[in-house]
Amino acid sequence: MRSLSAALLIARNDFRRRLRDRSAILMGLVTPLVMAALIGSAFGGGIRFSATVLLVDLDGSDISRGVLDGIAAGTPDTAPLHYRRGTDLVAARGDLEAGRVDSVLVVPAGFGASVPGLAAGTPLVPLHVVVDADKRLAGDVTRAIAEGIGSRITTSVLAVSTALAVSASPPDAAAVQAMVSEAQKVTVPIAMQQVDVQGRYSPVAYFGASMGILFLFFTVGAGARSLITERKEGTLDRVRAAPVTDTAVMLGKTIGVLALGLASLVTIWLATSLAFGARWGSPAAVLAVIVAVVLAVAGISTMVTGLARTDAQVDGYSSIVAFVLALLGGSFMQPGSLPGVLQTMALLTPNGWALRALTRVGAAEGTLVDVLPAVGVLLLMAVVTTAAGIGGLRAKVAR
Amino acid sequence: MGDSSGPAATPVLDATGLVKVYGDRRVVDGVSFTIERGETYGLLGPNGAGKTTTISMVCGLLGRDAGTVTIAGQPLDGSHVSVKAAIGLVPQDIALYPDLTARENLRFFGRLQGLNGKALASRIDAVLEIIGLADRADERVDAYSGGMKRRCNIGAGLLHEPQLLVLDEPTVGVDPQSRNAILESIEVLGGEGLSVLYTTHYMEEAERLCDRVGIIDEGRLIAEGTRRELIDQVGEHARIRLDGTGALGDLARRCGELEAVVSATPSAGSVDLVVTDTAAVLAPLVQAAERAGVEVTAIDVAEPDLESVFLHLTGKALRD
Ligand SMILES: Nc1ncnc2c1ncn2[C@@H]1O[C@H](COP(=O)(O)OP(=O)(O)OP(=O)(O)O)[C@@H](O)[C@H]1O
Ligand SMILES: [Mg+2]
Repeated sequence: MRSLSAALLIARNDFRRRLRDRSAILMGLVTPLVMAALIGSAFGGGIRFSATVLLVDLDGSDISRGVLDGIAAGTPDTAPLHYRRGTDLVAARGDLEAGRVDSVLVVPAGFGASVPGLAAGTPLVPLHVVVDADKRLAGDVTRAIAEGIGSRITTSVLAVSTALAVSASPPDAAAVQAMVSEAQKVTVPIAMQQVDVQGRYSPVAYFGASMGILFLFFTVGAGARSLITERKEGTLDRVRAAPVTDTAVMLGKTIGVLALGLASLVTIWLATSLAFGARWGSPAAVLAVIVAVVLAVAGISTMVTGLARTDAQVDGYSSIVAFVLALLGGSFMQPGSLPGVLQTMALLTPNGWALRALTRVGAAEGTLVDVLPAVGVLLLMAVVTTAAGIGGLRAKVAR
Repeated sequence: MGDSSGPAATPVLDATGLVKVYGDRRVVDGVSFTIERGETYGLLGPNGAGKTTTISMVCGLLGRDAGTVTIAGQPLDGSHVSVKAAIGLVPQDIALYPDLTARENLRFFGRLQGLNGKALASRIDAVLEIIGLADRADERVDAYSGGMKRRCNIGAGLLHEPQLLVLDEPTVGVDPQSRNAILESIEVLGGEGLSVLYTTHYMEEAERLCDRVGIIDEGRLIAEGTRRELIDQVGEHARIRLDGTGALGDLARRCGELEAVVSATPSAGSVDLVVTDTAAVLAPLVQAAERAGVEVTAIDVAEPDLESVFLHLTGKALRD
């Protein structure tokens, strides 16, 4: 118990001292917010996500045609969705792989025929979505459209059939026709809803996160370096002369740094939400990503500080690493606009993984489950980099 | 505190065979010493002698390559950090957070020592009183003068009322006035029964403060004892110079017969004596001058000091 309370004491002392330090506030909060606001406004009112969806009709029924027409017609001109039509699944896959379209929505054969059966309790033949792993956002939007169509058709057909059941006449041709026309009408509001989500994903949220993560390298890095400063200035000796273990000291320093990083990102999250109306999406998912990326950045800072030979090297390498990772991770570009190679490169960076996860949460209604892969990768990065650097850091702190 | 310790025989610190090796240099090479309760022990040695390294091992800041440290009867090793609470360390450099006030620094370090609440607050006030910073306690440390920082540095080591106060050259780079204040407060603390380990390369400080002194050079403890013992050990003698007029040759002859006098040499206007015990010689010397009819105008006593002991032992001066 003594160890943990000593660690918390050390963490609290560091945290409070850093909060008093104007440069820390500037670096951890003011600068990322200002940059997010500036870059965000440069990109206009909304993130310009755009996707071309190939609508493949394998069914060829009146209902399938009606549903697909409804999607296209129901999408406002301002929405960032474009459609092409096709009837061949193999060709569609080719288009997707060649990048001519961003996702494919397939109406399978038998779809139209399954609509009347809904009333009798047999399920609707589901729509298929084919996605490109690198174009998650387009995939998510298309999937949402498909799910929306399915559930809308189901509810409206059930509504019609219930109305007919109440009128007590058995389902006849007219009743089936009523269901079919209901099914054809349902797509419009679904498309609108998706577009609406796109419009509200504010660039300030994206760039708030991207700049916050970039500057995390400096706030968290300063924490790692402060260990070396304290060692030089002798305060670390005085701490270690107290009845506390070295492990408690390291733990306290780590907690202090992590708390600082978390405070920085959470404040940016709250500030952009409150001041700019930025919409980040599921708080649980956002929080999970934030915690994971703070750990990853702390690990990388440990590694850089531990492996560098001199203090000047620590400073130099930290800045280089921070900016290279930010650039590769797509921190200065709008989401989805990275060319293919860079999209792959982005996955080498914690910035890339975190931003991708946050974009998914903010733009495509992602939930905690959706960000778990990214969180896992970030935690793995944290573990690996910490392991690589901790030996060197300990050697610098010990005497 | 001779009365407060249960087993009075247990020394507050027992260091045996301490060794620290850097590369192929043994910067501390088999240093052993013991500090009894209530004793002020000085480690006297020139720059680079290994004082800080020795102290760091004693306080558990630095791993030992060999040797044992026992604090108030408890062995110091990695797994028993509570032993460290018995020590109050005052590091050689100012070890305070410059961006915090003195009170905030003391509060943090006091809490680390396990103090809390009212006990902590009253200890902080008491320490601020001792170091004379009560009226400026709420100013940031980086706004303090060098001397104030030094005093605060000492205060942080006193907070938890340690059994052994360890001070590493606390007067280096301090103006004479602050230096005197620091020495006085250490004398007071020592007088109150606190055990003290004090390192310095100032011979006068070791002589003034310490009950016993260990002389350290190039990582080895080359001599140890009270000032008197050290001086006797190397056979250094005091020198007395008597200025006067009259039968100086007769006086020198009479002095030569006194027991504690090694030699007495007359010269123009004075007699130079080498003595083994100044105190025993002074009264007979004055009597002898009266008998010889010498009118004494001045007596200068040059006691042998630790400087001369160091010179004798190493062939070099304590300060270069
Ligand atoms: N980490 C280290 N690596 C290598 N050598 C070291 C290290 N620390 C100390 N030394 C060497 O050990 C010797 C003793 O150093 P130490 O600091 O103990 O001397 P000191 O008696 O305290 O001197 P000063 O009066 O200057 O403070 C010096 O020669 C120093 O260069
Ligand atoms: Mg030293």
